[in-house]
Amino acid sequence: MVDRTIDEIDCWIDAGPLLAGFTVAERDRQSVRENLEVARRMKALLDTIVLDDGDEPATVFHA
Amino acid sequence: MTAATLPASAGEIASAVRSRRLSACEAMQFALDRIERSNKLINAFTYVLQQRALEQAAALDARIARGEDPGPLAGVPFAVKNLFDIKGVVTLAGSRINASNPGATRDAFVIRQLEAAGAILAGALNMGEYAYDFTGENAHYGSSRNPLDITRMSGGSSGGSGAAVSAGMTPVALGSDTNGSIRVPAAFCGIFGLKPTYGRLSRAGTFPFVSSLDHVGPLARSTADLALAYDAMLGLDAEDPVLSRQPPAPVFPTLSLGGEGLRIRVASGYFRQGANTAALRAVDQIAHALSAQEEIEITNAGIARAAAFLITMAEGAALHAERLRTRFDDFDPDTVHRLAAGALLPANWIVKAHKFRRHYQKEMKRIFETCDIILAPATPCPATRIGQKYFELDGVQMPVRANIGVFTQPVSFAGLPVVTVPVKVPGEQMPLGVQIIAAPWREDLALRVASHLEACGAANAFTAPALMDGGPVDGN
Repeated sequence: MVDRTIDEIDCWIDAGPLLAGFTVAERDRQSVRENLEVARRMKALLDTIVLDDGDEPATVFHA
Repeated sequence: MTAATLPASAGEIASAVRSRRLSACEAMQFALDRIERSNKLINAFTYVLQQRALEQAAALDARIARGEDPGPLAGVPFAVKNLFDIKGVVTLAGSRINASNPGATRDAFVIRQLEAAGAILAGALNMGEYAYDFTGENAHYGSSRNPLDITRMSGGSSGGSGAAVSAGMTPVALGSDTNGSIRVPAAFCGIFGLKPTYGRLSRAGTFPFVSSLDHVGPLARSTADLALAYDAMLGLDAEDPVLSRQPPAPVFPTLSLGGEGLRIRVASGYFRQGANTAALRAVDQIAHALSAQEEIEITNAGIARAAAFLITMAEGAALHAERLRTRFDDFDPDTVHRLAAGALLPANWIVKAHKFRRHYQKEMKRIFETCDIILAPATPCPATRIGQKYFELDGVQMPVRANIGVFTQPVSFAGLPVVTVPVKVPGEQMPLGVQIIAAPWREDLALRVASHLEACGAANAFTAPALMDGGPVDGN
């Protein structure tokens, strides 16, 4: 069975930096991958809450 | 009074200078001598402004001699995290990359405010690279060390600020706090720290990290000194676009009101999980001192931490996009790997995180309709060893870097004002920090409670060992 998570993150690391204009050297790859895995876990947690389409982003209390 | 018996308190120094029992020059020379002796060991300062500081001290003494009012912080030495602009000095922000930049053309707004109140800048302080750090470790300039145990981390990213105050080099230092970078070093170094409401103090003239989450604030050995510094820094400033237009509301005059009549709650749920026994005992001791028995749950605190985490990665990466393209290998690896990952996050993740932020802010406002103060741990454990990668929690090894800010992030994400107080837990050598959290714009309440805790002995600054300069600092 294919480990889709690894495949997706590998694709992500291969393609994303090209678009962003930098490269991830082989020695940096594992650490960047780990950070992306943490980000995915954080996103999964964020997705446990449902927000209305009409909700506005916010940054300050007094806006 | 002579410089040999210089008090550790900013308030006492200012009082002595104003009454001419001590000159500003003597006070500054004492601080400079102490910095020279201690910094080799602590590595808190990256730049010392000896000439400028002594010239300003002499000018202040001359003003006093002429009968002029020198201000409430007369002659008080202070220092700033090296992301604050200092005229003529390169704003490093903890990086090697910025070292090739020209010196700043003027001082940051809050430095000008403090100096207008009579305080005198002694230098710039070490920090984690570009403030993306909770440890105080820095691959380029070395780790700032915890004065209470130099084998342990100072906490970060305002590590030099925590270490300098804890070691008695200056009674007040400024830091910045995006996800906990004032509160963590205050907790680890056994001192007090204030992160004001988002938009309360101007950040103009500071090197940003995550503008939508960045705050600046003071660290000190007492709540009175925090309040004196905070009051001096208040002011309207068009150069920070998120600065509140609310008129300044000084807090020092209200400190003596204490916590009487305030509805104080202990954060439950998320804030009782993921912390070791000592961190929870510290909260319990503070709750007991305040007779706070009721708990309150911040339901979505874990999601708030996740959202803060994602916004930090992406916004930090956006800030450094050009440097990622051109100077990738000049970053600290611990920093650049997170920034590189942050540059790859889909935009809709970040928009959702910002949408959740408004949702969460509303939740917090509703919570603060039912209480005035919430107590929570500042960190999940005391300061770990420098370089330590994991700490043990309930028999499980937890990554240090990823978890130090687990309790501070959900609070700053809502922009709430917080005072971190240092607590001695029996059987534990190192201090623990407890967050005293208030509703937006109610710094006064958090400081009143912290002041009460200090007065009753439940929270006091720790004293660094004598090894650094041949004698402990005065005070507690």
